[in-house]
Amino acid sequence: MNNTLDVLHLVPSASGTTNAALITFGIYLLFVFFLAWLSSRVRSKKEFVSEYFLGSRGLGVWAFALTFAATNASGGSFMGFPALIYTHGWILALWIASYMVVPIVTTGLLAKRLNQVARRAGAVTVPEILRERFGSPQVGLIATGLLTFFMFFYLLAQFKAGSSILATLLGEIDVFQSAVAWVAEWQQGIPLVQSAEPDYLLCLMVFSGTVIAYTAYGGFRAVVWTDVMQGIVMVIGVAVMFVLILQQTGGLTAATRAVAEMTPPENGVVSIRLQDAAEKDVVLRKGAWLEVLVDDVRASMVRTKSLIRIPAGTVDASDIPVLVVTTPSEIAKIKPDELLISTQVTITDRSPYLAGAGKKGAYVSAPGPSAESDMGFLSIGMALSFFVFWSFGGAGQPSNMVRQMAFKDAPTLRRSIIMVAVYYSLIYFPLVIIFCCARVIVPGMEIEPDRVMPETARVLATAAGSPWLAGLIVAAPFAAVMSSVDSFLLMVSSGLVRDVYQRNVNPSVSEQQMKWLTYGVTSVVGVAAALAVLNPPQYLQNLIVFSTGGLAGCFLMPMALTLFWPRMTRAGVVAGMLGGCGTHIALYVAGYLVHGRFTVYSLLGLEAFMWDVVGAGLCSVAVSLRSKPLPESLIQRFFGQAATRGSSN
Amino acid sequence: MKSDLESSRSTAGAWDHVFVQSRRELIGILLIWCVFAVWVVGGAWYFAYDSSSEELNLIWGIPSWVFWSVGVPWIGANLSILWFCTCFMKDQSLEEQEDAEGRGETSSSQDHE
Repeated sequence: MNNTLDVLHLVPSASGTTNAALITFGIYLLFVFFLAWLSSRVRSKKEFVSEYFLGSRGLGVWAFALTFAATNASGGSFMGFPALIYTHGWILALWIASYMVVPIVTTGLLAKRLNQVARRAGAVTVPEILRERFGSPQVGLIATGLLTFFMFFYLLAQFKAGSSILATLLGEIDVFQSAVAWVAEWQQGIPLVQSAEPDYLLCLMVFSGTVIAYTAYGGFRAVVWTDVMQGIVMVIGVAVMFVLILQQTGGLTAATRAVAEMTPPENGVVSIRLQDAAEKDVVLRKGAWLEVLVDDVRASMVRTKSLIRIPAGTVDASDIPVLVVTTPSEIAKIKPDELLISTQVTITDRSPYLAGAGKKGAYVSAPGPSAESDMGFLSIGMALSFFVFWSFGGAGQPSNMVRQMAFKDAPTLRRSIIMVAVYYSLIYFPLVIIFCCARVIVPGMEIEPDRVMPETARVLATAAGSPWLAGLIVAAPFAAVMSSVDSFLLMVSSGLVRDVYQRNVNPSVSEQQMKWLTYGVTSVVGVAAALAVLNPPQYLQNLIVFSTGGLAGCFLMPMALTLFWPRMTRAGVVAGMLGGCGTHIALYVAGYLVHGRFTVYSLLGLEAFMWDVVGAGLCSVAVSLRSKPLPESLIQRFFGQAATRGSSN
Repeated sequence: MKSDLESSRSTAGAWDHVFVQSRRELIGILLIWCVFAVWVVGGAWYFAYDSSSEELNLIWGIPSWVFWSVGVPWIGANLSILWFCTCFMKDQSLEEQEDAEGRGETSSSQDHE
């Protein structure tokens, strides 16, 4: 027995493969900056505002389709979604099924008309369309205010998500750990940053610096070009994983049969007794596999959920949280960590899942296993809610509306919808297959489900003998977050610079002044968002839901009626936006009163978004019908034919 | 109110062609969405939630309820989208930019009630 060692585990995480990830990641960042530089070269030859915020309305099929697809596929698609598939199984195919019609609903519902009205209005932002359609600066300002309010919350959440993903991807690389140690030393004594985790702080600086720099410098065209590249990275990453995992699990049929045999794990607590007390502290890494023996026979396998430290001189450690594997074939197959000191592990408490516990087939049937709800993961009512939400929630996002203002012509729209449909088919259903199969080759990831994507990539690439592939695969989630953040950052800055400053404060501002003001505001908004998440707020995921649902609730119905209902009035559109916003906030206030925390109240078990849309629609129609119609000249301008528009003016 | 609007439209001229066609396409898209919502959610309810079968049926390695209520409709949705975009949607000029940029700068003040 070697009592001089102070580290108990003998199977450190493999780090060799992740150096390849760092190199791939570095190349990727260089290419992003190259695209920003290239787009600034294009912009120098064109009118600044239209080019910077809308790419001169010249997006072709590839650019429009991929910027649309990539912006919608946020980090959640590559971190949160795989985690859900891994944890709940094939039911996620139903949860995400709405993506089969998302391309045509989100891209086609408003796009052609929105593009036409934006051209007639000479608008480059969403509030500008409303301002011109109703001939009212006040309408534009209210829209800018709502958009900035909800968008800033979303930016905060995405900055945090991007930094966390980066920390997860680079966490085991030696160079990264050295940099973290340097940051930890540097941050001491600096009031604002000293309480932040050093690895998170470093990643936040890299992530925010990169996104702010290329977005501010390159504008909309850089955002679109990087989206195209990121979209390609994502689909290649998924395709590589798909082929490798089917090869390594023996095919989909074998993998699904193995998954069908699995029973959900349990959350447990163990005590560990060392054979002899060590002279130094004994450390057991997070994620270590330990064998539970009963009468010298392996009864179960448990995986530690956190790092364990057993003080020198003691032999017992208790109340250690673990994941308890319950599937017999997995218990027999998993190799325990080889420990330097003999130990005895005893399970002292175990909590089965509330739905699916002990049930074979839970991962291949509805409603899917759940640790939190005895109704299972997805009730049929929630399945319907998600089918509505993914399609129409996306259609109401102002970031999508901006892209719909930017495509070149109607044939581009038609071809892009087909391309987005093919793209989503290549991404989302294969992801369900990949991460259902991942249960077979990467067990026990319930301890940290968000790491299932990089961990699966590492295992697959290592087994394939091509560690650089892991780098390519793990670039996908980072690309997804970046492509969302840059779009939202640009929307906030365009709202402030174009809608507030140029249209209301200083209409005679010169192009040169606009240029520097835009660079400055984009940078300031980005830095403000980064500073706000130095110590990230609680309930971050709820913030994302709050902001995306709020945006869709405020803008979907008012914009649809603006485009398709000539009788819509100024008072009607304001009532619609405020009605959607009011309904949304009211449901969150009700959620806080009922649950005692920041969460939404699900009235009749439906998504808040549905009530927001109903509220916005009713307010818009009721107030429009009771208020004075718009002047005929405005209606003719946006609903009349070209010749009659000319005569009416 | 409605009669005012209708009469003003009849004196000023017909609705814009892009507006009329876009409205037609919007209705088509909503119908497509409804068809697949009923197929997917109804199919899942029938095959997955309301099924008493404990047996695992696989089709190409995919659980049969996923195959029929997600996989097949997904292919159907792609074919519908292909048909809709190639046969139903129309290519129309969206340009009409003439003095649009100029209007954008000045119209709001002119059009105030």
